[in-house]
Amino acid sequence: MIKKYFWIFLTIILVFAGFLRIINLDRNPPNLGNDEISIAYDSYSVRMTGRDEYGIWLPLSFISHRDYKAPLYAYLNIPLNYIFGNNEYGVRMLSVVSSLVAILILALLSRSLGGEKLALITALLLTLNPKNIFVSRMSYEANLASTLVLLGVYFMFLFREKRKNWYLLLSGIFMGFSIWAYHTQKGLVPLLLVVLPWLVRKEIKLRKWWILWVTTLLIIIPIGWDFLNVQMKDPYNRASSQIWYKSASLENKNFFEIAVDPIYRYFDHFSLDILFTRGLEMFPKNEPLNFGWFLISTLPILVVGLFNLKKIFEKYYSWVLMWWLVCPVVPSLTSGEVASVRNLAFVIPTILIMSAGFLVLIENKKIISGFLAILILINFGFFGVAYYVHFPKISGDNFQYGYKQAWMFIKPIVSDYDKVVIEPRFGINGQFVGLPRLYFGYFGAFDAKTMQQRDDKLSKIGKYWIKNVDWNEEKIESKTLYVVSVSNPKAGNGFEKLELLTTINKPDNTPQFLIYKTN
Amino acid sequence: MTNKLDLLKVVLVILISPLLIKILNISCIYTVITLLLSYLFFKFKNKTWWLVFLILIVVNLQLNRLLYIDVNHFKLSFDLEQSFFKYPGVGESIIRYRQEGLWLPYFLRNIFYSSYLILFSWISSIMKMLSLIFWIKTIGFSGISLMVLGIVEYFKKTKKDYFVVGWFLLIITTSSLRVLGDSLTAIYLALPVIVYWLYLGCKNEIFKKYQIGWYILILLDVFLK
Repeated sequence: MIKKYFWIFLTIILVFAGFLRIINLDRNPPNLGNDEISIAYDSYSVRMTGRDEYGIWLPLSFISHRDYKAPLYAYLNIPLNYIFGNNEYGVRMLSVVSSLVAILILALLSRSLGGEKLALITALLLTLNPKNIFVSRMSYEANLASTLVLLGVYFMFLFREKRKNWYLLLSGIFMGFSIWAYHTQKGLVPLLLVVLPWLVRKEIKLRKWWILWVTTLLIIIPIGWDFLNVQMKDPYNRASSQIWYKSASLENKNFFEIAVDPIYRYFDHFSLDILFTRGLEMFPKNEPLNFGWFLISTLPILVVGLFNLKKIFEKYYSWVLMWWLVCPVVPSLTSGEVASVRNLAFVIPTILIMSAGFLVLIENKKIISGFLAILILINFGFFGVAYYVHFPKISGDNFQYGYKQAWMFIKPIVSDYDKVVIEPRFGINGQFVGLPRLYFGYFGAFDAKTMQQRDDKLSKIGKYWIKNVDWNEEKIESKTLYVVSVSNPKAGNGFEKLELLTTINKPDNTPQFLIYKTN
Repeated sequence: MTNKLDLLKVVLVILISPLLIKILNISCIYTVITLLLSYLFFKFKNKTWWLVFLILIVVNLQLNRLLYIDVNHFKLSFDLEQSFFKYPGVGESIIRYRQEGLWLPYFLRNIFYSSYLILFSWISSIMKMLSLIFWIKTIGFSGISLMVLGIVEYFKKTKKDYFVVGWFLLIITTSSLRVLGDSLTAIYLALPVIVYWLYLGCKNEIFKKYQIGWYILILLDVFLK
């Protein structure tokens, strides 16, 4: 029956996956985050003017926050930005689509490896995967890149099975473009392209993979050129500071401690608490509703899967295992949080292994597998409550909540004012620094050309001034709007001229910004 | 002779691991209790395992400063505030969830926001202690390689002794009850099992074949010390 109705079942799963990823997409996460707004703005700016926010014509990397974002997401997003407009859908939909494509391709890969049953289990497990849901609802380039890597690996599997060269060509195209999509892939893709063919060198001679290598190489030439001639020439580029040995935590450590740190980091990526109980970091540490990258109820099937890899995947088992083991290598060489999206590609092979474990249980221990299935659904219910109900309430600050809402409030009256002052600081103590220019620009305060012609020294874009306000120093002029952090209420000279228009609250109803006007 | 050499290797692992300082610093009464319980357990397992496990729970909770035993007045007191049961942060979060989820139907709120949510925090703590990285930091690279091989060897045995796993898990689960505990104290009473697995690791074929690599790991651990 499963074989006969495979496509119907898969379509149902995909529709359900789409529902989980699209529902309340504009409100959860509660606002566009730091990287999201940057990608959204650059995509919009290129659509309107052919240039990014800094005025660079069709860049091969977007300067953004000096992290020189890989360009593919912003470019692929242009048609979606045109269709949906400048809102959350206009930048997050591409990530949703990437995630759905990943579910489809992983199902197809599983079908060729272990049949229809395995394919449907894989699709369902990825559909219910907390990390995949989390990232697919945000405009993360890493999500697009991991889908492209999956496509690349899928065609490598097909080549191994059918030995048709055009599979290598397709694999090379997707692998190459994954490097256009995210920085981690600059290391991950070469590793996969070397390790996987090497593992089967007795079955397929290494020289037969040349089409894959040449295609990938040709595609990444422009990105490589940009990396060497643009990014590396910027002394403040973030890539140079992200290598592990420049991490602040390694200061005053000896050579061995620094050299071994990536090994610790590598094993950290397999920490059970990160993977299963707290790696998603939706809430502060120790909160009981924290979740890992995977549901805790899927831990047993991961273990069973690892022990039965050979049985399920037969001659392909070494590829699946190596794909799983190679993913955290590049993220281990960088500083920063272990649970970051840098290791997102790791989710896909893990789900594949889990599905194998679940299939083994279904075929051999029906009662246990039934019990586990119920447990997974209950576990997902808890995740659903945590993510869809509580996460948007508590995460306002993480997503610079308030700038868009402030703009929406002043939009109908802004034409009556000659000057708008917006504070970049926010948070209860003004401890965070945001990017109001991007939020105001994206949601329509000024056009892309005005943004490109802004005066960075004065932080002035048309009549919008981005600066922290010191009420004692501030020369309060008439017909001015002030959007200030709640940590900076009116005080000092001339405060009687200011009239409070409104308070912008976060989703948890705590105040974020105060909006004042002068007559 | 081989057995003695294997024992020496186990001692070497303990000597260069952070556990050594713990063994030297901890009150010797715990070491004596651990040795006594190990003797009881391995000698008369079938009769005494329940008694050993019971004493282990009490001593481990006491060692992790969750349980206070007043011998003079025959009093036991459990420090709930240091455990997940009453840790203020966890309780406050559950109250906040209830307020934020007021729009959910009453029966759903009862399911999702009950005090058993503390189990999630406890499980998270257990997961942390079962992670490879936790053990690498506790017994070093040489120790973890030997211990993993030992566990493989243990599961290869036709006549498995599941009480050993029971001992290990008992210590992990009871120690994890403490919210902010010291990792070395947490596993101290599991030392007999760790030593047993390290010893079994020395019997593993892979270990015997690649012993030179293990000595390199020993060197690495010494340099990292």
